[in-house]
Amino acid sequence: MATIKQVSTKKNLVPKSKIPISYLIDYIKEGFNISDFIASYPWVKRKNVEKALEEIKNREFTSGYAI
Amino acid sequence: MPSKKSYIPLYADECFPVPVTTYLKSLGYSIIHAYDQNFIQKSDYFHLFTSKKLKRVLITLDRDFLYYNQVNLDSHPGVIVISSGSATPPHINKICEKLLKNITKNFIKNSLIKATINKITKLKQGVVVSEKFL
Repeated sequence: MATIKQVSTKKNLVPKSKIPISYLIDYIKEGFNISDFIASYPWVKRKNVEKALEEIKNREFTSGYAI
Repeated sequence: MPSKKSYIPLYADECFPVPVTTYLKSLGYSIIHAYDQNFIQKSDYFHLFTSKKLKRVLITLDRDFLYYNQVNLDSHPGVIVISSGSATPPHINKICEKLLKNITKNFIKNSLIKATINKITKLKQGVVVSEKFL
């Protein structure tokens, strides 16, 4: 059977899912919306997608003020 | 419709967009999504094991698989990691369509394939075995 050597690849994920937030950013960048993202990952709850977007927003402001 | 020669049964993990599986089905490919089986929030190992059990090639966007250098895929149908630069369905559709026309079951068997829009890289236990330009 295939064996995996565990490696540390810490990613930012949409809450309560294994979907990276970077995927969500791709959708937004290309003019898709939250509904399109949910159509791709139907088990992901809208409120968790919104939480992910909030997190992006908060991080950006935090880093801005930190400078 | 894909020819019998290029017929590759696929298993998509949860990082793979559901609309792309619908698109590939419309092209005649046999593909099962983890979501259809209710295999959500499962580990990479689980998806590897499941694809082997189902005798299907694992197709994913999850780049973590590229870093599992010691992965032993002996007697596994194979793993395809799509590396598109964007996770949106139009990009993934394009790569999958191009890729699946150009590879066979035997080519993928026991290996990991990294596919971009113009290149296929075949790896075995982290070592590049071959490269093919599309």
